Amino acid sequence: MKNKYNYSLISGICITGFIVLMTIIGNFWTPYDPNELNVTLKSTAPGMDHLMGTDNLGRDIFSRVMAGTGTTLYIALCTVFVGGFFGTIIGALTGYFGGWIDEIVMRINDIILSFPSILLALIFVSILGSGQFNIILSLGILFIPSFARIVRSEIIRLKNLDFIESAKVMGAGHLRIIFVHMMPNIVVSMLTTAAIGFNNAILAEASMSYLGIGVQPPDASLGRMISQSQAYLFNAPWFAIFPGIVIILTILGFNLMSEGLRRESM
Amino acid sequence: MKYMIKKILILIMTLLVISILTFVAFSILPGDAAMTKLGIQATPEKVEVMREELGLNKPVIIRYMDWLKGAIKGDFGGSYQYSNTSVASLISERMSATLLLAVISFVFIFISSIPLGLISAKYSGKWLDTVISQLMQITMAIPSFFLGIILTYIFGLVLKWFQPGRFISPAEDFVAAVKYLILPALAVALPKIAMVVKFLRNSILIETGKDYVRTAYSKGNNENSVLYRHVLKNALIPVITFAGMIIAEILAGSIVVEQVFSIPGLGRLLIMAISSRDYPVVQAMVTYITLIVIIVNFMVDMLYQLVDPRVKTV
Repeated sequence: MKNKYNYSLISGICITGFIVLMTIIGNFWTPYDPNELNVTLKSTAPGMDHLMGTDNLGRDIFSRVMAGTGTTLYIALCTVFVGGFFGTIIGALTGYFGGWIDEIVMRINDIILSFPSILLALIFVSILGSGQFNIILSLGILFIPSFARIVRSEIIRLKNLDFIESAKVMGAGHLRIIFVHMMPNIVVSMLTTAAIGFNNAILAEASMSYLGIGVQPPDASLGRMISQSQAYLFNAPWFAIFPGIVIILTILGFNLMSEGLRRESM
Repeated sequence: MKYMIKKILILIMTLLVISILTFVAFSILPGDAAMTKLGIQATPEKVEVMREELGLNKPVIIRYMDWLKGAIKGDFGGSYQYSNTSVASLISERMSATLLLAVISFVFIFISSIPLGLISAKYSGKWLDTVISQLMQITMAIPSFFLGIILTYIFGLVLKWFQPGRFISPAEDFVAAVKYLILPALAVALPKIAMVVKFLRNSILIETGKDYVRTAYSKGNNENSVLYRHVLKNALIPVITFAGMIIAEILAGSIVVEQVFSIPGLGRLLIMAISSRDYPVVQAMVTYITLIVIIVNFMVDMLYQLVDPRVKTV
């Protein structure tokens, strides 16, 4: 059941491309200084001068969104990297060798997975303290089980296939079998897991920053902007709406892209 | 029966391990509880007296055993921040709001996702299914706190249907509390509805391909009766396992949404306790949430076997 055009993939790539482009440009150039205060321009509505309006301190929201998306994407990317790296190693080794260590590790995985990640992240941050690095660390650790579980089940599926048997007969070592022969076959399912993890990381970071225990000032963050905007909601709704729309677009783009990728691989 | 006992043992073990881990983590943290309670200006002698009073001079193991003895009886000690208030009473005061919010959210999810999933699967590939699927795709991308803010803006500030921040506790006026919680519950429920609809749709589509469906058709059933009387029953079984996750997610969602609508529930207590480093409260909340998550999972497990006798209990 393959569509002629993979609309999910195309629209996903377009949306994500737009967000990534905006972030990259935001790294070098923003229309205004994102942290520049301008009291005379307090809470101006969106217009030609300020595309998304200004906030309660007269800062240009468009510029702040450009900078804040960068922080959000950076945290999400690092989180997925930490979780993916350790999760893959743990999943591959336990799946390949099995035994009682596998049993114990999977039980721990099940326990961690049955908790909502934002809750555990809150507890981690309360132990480690807030700040960008600690958020990456705690969210990254929390994403290890989901990667480990996927990689493990794929490795177990591959373990008894003929080409692995023949690699063994040819005298390949365990590590060579895992990383050279098995890994290339599970890239697609790892990519889908990574996309889901990426979205969860964006959501978790935004929620934590909204609650005030995520990214700390002066770093701009979309979640923080929304939380600050709440007091001015009636007079300056654009202050909340634009950062929110950017979060939604980022997640939507990645969702569509992973959906499209999955369909493409079927 | 043997299976149940094994499960309950694992349950207790998990609870113990998590409480030990958090306890140890909080006690090796820099920053002294006695200092937190007395303020920075306190003299070293005063801090020493306070440490003695709080039992902080004892080794961690003894302190944990003391805590555990109290916890079993429901006594989690006193809060650092609110002096003279026990943690247990802080939690029980705020329980009702969160519980009510979770129940209303669950009802929303239940009554809307089953029909939507059914329609989506029945017309799979047609335009109605496409519309529902795309709509769900978008809903899944909306963070619940942002949804809450948008709802506050539209219904609270523009239409003035309710007053943001004026929550009446359910003990005072139950109907008013429920009315206030409808929008927050919607903010919690909407992203999860999308998840359940997607899951149910796939589950129904997998079931419709099975042999018993063909048999049911050949016996003269029409499409609707096959769908409602045969397929739906089987398709809902995997959804039950999913429900445990959903309940945990509702709990997490309420923590964030309570902040948006300023509802004095467990979520606000947890956030406040974390930002003011009130560890006895955090520790008790962690234990509490663990207990809820574990019990829900246990119940889902039992329900699963009740509904589907094919599941072998080893």
